[in-house]
Amino acid sequence: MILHSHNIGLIFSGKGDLRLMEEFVRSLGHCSRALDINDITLPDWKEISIIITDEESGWRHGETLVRIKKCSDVFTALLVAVRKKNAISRWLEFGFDDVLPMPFTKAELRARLTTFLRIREQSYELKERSDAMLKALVESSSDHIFMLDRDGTFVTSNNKMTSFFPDSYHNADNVVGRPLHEIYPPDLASALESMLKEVLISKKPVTREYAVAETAYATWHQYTLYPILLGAEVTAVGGICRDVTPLKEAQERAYSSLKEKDALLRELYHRTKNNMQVIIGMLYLQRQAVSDESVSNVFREVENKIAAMALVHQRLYQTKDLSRIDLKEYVGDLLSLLVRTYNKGIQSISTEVEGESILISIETAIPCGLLLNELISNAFKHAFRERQKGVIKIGILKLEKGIIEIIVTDDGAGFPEGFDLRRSCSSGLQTVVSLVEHQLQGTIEMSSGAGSRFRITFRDE
Amino acid sequence: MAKILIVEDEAITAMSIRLKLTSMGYEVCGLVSKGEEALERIRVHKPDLVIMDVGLPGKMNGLETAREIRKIHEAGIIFITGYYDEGMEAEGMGMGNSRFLQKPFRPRDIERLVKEVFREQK
Repeated sequence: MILHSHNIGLIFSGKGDLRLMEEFVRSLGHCSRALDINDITLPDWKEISIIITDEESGWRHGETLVRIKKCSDVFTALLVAVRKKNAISRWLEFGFDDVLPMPFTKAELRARLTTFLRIREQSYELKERSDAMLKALVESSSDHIFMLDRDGTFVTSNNKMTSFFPDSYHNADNVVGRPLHEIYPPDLASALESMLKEVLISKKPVTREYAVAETAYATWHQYTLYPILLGAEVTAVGGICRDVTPLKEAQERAYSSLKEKDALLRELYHRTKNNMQVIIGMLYLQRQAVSDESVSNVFREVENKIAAMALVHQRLYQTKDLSRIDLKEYVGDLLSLLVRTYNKGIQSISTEVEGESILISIETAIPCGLLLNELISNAFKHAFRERQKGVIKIGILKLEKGIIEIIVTDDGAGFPEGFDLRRSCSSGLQTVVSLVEHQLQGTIEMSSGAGSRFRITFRDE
Repeated sequence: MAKILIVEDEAITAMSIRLKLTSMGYEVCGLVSKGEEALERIRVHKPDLVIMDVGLPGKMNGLETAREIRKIHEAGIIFITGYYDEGMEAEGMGMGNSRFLQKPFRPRDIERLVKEVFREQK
């Protein structure tokens, strides 16, 4: 390459100096080209191996020349011929590669040109090697990789276009230089044009998926367009098209399976509810055959317990995720159910639920419902004897480390002094203790004075 | 004596409702499991109230049957359902003189709603 003739670009304001330089360059076997700095788009610029300027043109066009040099694909030396030797370091700092102190001999010029042409040759070889590696990499990809200019015309492309459009005659060679709408089906081309605009405005990558029905079966293409920035300006837009059909099909299968599971679970909750309805119906029919009031009450209480459990299934059936229910809403339902059972006659017992919404699982909700049913029923039945009014309150709170606290209070008669919850003969209270400590692995405390107060804590795993 | 028709395909549930209603002193003029049968009974007995399961077997569900009933006879309707959604309740309540009750319910819940509907009819 060094032995061959090179184009040496000359920018000299003095005609005498320009002629002298032209002679020197030619005598060294190279071609001299007088460059027009006002027309930097000339293809000539790309064919220039070294640019030499005089001081005056260097000062005037230095910034432009340095920018042209930086944009060059291969190393292009920028030299300035100076008469004042003391300004050498300033030219180098400015971005010039070397300074030629005038006057200089042919031998000196040859030495400089040879050095810089060797560097150019090396940079050219490096570029070719890296281009070849990049091309191999891009071609080895199963994705269609391409680059568009700002107007949406293909600048480069690997040869995978036909993998995405098997019926298409497009390959890398005849895609380049053509706009998107000549290459893609109309809908897709217009979608990609919109993406391109978005990238140019936002200067950020954009990814979209499109169903393409060009072949016998529809495929899903994922397009990513990303800006290629030079400073703050988007000079071109890179693009990757990937076939995401298998991923989409897997997603679809997973979604269908999830929907099927949801439908089955919902049906299960529904059937459980209906079975509980039948059990309540059977208990009611049996109860009508019993004349003893205390036995009849036992039946009624069992009906309530089943209804309390059924409320959990009812809430679950109505939730979106089918696995957790809102404890506060559930307690509200339960209170309404028990008020309808016990608030009869002239007695008026009001109920209140305070606290926050806490989602709990079915494993926690069922024992929770049963023990609350027991405590609230107890309050209704025993706390307000010989009274016309009373209040039952339930407070729900989430404590630290996922612990849930429920406090049940009433302003009724309270328990006798020295009453021990764990030694109580009441099977209902024994059940409550067992549900809290055994099933929920929680704690229960009871206090009594002006009314009674139960504090229950447990963790919803 | 007010007459009530029960349209419910689940036998035990239907029986427990009938027992509750008769114990309250009402006349149960029919206990059927399909919408088509319900319409026949309505034409004959002209009941004051219909207890209607929404999820019925056969050609018509409870809401469709209720729409047909409204064309031939004015009666209160209490819908009972295991498949609840707000749209369904809005449609049922939009028919007027109606109530909605979700399964599972206790016979005393039916008692409360029956009293409410008759109070409204007066």
